[in-house]
Amino acid sequence: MENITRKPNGEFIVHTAKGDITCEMVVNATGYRVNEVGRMLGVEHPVTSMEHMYFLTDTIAELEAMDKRVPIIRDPGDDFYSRQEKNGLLVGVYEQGCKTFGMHGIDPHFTQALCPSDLDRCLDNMERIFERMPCLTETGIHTVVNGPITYTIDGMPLIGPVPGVPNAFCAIGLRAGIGEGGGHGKILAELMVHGESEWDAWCLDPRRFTQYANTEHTCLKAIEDYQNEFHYHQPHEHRPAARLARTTPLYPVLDAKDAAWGVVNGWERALFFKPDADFVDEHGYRFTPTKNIVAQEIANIQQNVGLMEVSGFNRYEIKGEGATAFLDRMVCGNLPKKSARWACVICLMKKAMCWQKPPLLSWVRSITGMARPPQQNGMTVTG
Amino acid sequence: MIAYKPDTVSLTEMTASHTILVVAGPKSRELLQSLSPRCDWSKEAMPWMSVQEKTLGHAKMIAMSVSFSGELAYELHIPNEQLYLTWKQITEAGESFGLGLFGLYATESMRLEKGYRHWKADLIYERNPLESCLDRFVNLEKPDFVGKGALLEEQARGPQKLFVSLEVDCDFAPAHSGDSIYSGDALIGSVTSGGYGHRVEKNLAYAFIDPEFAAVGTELSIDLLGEMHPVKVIEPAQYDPENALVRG
Repeated sequence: MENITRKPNGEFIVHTAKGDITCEMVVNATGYRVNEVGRMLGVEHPVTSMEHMYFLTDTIAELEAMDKRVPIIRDPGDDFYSRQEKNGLLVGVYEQGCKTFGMHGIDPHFTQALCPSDLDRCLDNMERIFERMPCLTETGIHTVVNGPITYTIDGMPLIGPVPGVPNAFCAIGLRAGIGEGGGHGKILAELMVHGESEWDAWCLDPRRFTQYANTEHTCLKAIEDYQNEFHYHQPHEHRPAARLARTTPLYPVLDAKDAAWGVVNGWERALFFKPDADFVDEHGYRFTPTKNIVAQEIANIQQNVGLMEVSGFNRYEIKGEGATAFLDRMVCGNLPKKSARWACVICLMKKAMCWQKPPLLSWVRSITGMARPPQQNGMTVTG
Repeated sequence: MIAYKPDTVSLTEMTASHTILVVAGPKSRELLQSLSPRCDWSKEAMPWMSVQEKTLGHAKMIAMSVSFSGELAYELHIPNEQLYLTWKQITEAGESFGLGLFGLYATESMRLEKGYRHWKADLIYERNPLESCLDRFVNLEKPDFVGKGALLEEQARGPQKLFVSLEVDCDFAPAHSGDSIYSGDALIGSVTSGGYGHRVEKNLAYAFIDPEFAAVGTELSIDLLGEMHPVKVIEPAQYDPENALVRG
């Protein structure tokens, strides 16, 4: 494939070495070449590839002697996984000293190929792997495989419409395509044909990232995700890479008040206020000491008054001739009858399925009818 | 939404241009009024669920008498160039009202006590507004709206699940999204949100469960960290169910 161009009527022309293909929709499903094709579409997909190594050992006598296969091992403490391969082992490592792939361009002839091996950067893990499985200290390694895997900002793929490019879609950033591909294909087909999936697939939607999701941001999160492959993501855990992507003017002010920060769609938002700067918010599935701090914040609200900043709240102004009728058609309930009133409203997805399925629900939190001069009939929608 | 929008209607994104400051609690009105001699923040002039332009000192903003907290409270939508000014005025005046800061964890606790839903946690694509027990936000008498046909069919068919509030009998952990709800040995649903309600002193959760178990008072179980704990279906509004506080 060489390029993608667009006709005035919106159709795509995919230019290949063997001829052109004209089509109404394109899907970028090009694995680690995702951004070579992205550039042809005029976009920078937030997907970065990481090198990942596994090695294959010679025959291990104890395995050969067994009449069954040994289980798969995933070791969260030492960052490796292992399974039996013939009468030896396959061992893969998620080293802290990891490397991105393809940031300076990918050789056009790199196809079904591999990267040079570099087990040296896994030495720390190797020592611990040998402690865990002593048989490996006496076993030869006959092959090291090093290949690229695509990563995204939050570890989930991007399946759906490419933001800003009508009729272009993507199925990119998959970690284990063989396992995931079927489900993603179903969702993507529904999105392309019907505009919605029967499942709530927002966690996969490319539009879940906004303008902060550039290549640099993606790389920082990809490296962090790779390093944390085996480290369970705890409740309320907000990881440290690529922070401060979106802040309000009050960030430094609240930080000086010892805010404990979380991230909501790139925006820094205060979770609670620490009793002192050194306080650490423990993460876990059980109640932690933070519960008592929250109790005190709420007690003060209940008795006196509290103040909270809500950064990055979605907010739209909808105005112009026909705005009210448009909104009335979009929501399944009533708009405020009087101006200067607030109301909760709900938008539903259209039912576009050929089988009987419940209508899908999306929530528009509030509509505020503003008192405006007559020529500016409009409303602000927040949430 | 864009697919249905006529060309005469403009849609402008204002997420990065404005920030919200929430002022919540019994002294909130008094505090804001003290900064605002030319505006009327009284209950009569600004009842619950109003939206009005207001000034605080020399900062101007849109004020909404609503809040996720369930207390007498105001959401102030402030243009970012006046955010620091507003903050400074509120916090300096706030000292004599006992003003304290709070964050997302506190908000989460408070909204669970009011039966308020969280988008993407409790409000999800797979369940319609009737199953979500949001009938009061639906008007099937309207001549047309997107999804009306499907919703009417769904109404005729009856709900597959119903949204419930639960009290969780466990003192060492909250419920987590995805936790399973059982009636005896039968798996009947799963949790959407969970957390401790500090004002009512109850461990609370929301869930979608099979409709036949959704009556208030029904006793069920939850699988929490691998162990079964009792849960009970309760009224959604546990704190100030008459909404006396928010009406001010």
